[in-house]
Amino acid sequence: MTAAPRPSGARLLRDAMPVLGLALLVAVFGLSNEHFLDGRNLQRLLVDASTLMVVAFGMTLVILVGEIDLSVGAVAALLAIVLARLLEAGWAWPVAVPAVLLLGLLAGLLNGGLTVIGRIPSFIVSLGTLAVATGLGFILTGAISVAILDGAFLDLFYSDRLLGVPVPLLIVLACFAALLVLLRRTRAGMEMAAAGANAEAARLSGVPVGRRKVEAFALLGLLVGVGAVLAASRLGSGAPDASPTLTLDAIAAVIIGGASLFGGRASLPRTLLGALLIATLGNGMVLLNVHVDAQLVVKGLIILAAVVLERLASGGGRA
Amino acid sequence: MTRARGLADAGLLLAFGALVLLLLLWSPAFRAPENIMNIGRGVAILGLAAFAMTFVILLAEIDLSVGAVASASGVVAALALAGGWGWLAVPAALLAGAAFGVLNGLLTVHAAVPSFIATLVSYFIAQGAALTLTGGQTILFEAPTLRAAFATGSVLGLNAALLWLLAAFAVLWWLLARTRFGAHVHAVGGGAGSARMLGLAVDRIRLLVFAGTGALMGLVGLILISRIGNARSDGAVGLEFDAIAAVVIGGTALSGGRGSLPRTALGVLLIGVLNNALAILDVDYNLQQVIKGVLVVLVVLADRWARR
Repeated sequence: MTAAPRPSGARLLRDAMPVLGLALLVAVFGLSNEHFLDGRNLQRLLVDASTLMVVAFGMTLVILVGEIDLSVGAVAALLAIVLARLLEAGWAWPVAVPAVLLLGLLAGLLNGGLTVIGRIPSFIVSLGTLAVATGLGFILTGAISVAILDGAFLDLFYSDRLLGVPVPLLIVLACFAALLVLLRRTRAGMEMAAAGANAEAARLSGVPVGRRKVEAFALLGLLVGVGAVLAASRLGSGAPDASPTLTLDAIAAVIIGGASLFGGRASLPRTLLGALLIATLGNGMVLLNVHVDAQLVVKGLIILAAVVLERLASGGGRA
Repeated sequence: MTRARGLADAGLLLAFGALVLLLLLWSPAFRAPENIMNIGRGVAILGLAAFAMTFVILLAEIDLSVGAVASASGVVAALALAGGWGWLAVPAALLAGAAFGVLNGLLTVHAAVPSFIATLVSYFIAQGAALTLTGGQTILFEAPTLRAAFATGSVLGLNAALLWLLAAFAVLWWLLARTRFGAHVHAVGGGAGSARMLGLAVDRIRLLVFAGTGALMGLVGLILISRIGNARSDGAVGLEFDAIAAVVIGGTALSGGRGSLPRTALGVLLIGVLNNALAILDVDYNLQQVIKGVLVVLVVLADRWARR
């Protein structure tokens, strides 16, 4: 994408950051706490991170096409609440889960449609849907979490295993594989990257830029639905403030993965590493008894470093 | 285009007039003089944030951190007061706010990070800092004179917070409409490239606007804690959204370069009256958020349509 790449230290550091950072965190937490490298802790870390991972995959697409979605945390919370309410009303989970996925898809279409057709900056559109989803979430619950009592649903999406692997992780893997194929093997995926790199040039070479952007938002919405289902079964409830940092974490995962904030360059495997880094950070800080509020500051500073690094590596321009 | 613009402006005034008229005729609770003062007090914090946001949006940037920075500044001031610093709490709050503003500016201007990402990062850092400083507790303090100066006192029947708002409006309006700096803000927002070619100190102007916004959020933090006599980490939660809403409803373009402070003031009044009316009508707070969310998107859409 970039002309004459300058081989710079910042660029090398940016590209190595997800791997190095993750290795560093694992080493630090592993040495400072005997329980961190426990098989059970690592598996819990991964299952806890399942929602973040799928949402971050979707965010990768939206950032790739040069847009942003600030509403994912609020929409995920709302969808988990809707799921809890549907199950409470006696819907069977095989009906309720697809209904929630469909709602997620529609939310994504709304964000994408308003951004593309309405030509409104996506951070404003998603700030609007963020307000709407948060409000609806509180209205649907009266600010109290809605418990899920459907044992079969809770087991399936949290503790059940298939071939020895927890179901949530299989779902994450399936989403990852499908999106990787989309991005690397299909015309649509390549056109998404082209649309993000230079919308005008892409349009002139016949790429349906608007459609690709809407598709990216719609896929993100669907994945937010998947993330909401996983979160609901993990927490056993739907609550309006269930995921206060999901939006930041998802964007952080993509940025730590070295994506360009202006679109055109993003990588799914690197986002996966970024999400794992964020999840490891959270898990390790809990084990080290770092207060949950201070965790927010640490996370913020790490994202800050990643952002600055990405900009330095791009030579400060819109590369 | 200008005709459509004129229509849109008239539409805003008309909508505002109709809303106020309807409420005056219909609701005795709304037309009580006490309630009119309530609206004035209610819009002070929103107004200050929206005025600062007008400068930011005129530059075609955004600041998502204003609510969190105002909360954090308020917490800093409350801790200073509780620790016996007295009036030093005022510069402490202003400096805390300005520090976040400078961070936003440096990231946006010198690291070329899109402002919605830069300010989202400071939003979370400020929120985390406020939570850590308070330990999730409400910080209590005793400072009757300081509270009177920023919120509870009144001069000629006008509430102190409202006076700060009016003073800020006068100064900022003068700055934007009458000074070279204001003209430069418009020019940079209209196109940073050509502004740079004209020899304007584009980077310094953008940095100043972000830093000034942060400092103003320090003032908001002081008003916030003075009003209720304590500080919480989430004191101004959601302020960024209401501020952006007021600016956008006032008709300032998100693409930069076009807009004015009086328009934002009208947007602030509209949101203030709307909040007040919804509260009087006993509309659930959360439903109010939904209504405002829809309203913002609709107004931006209408603005796009009017300029086509």
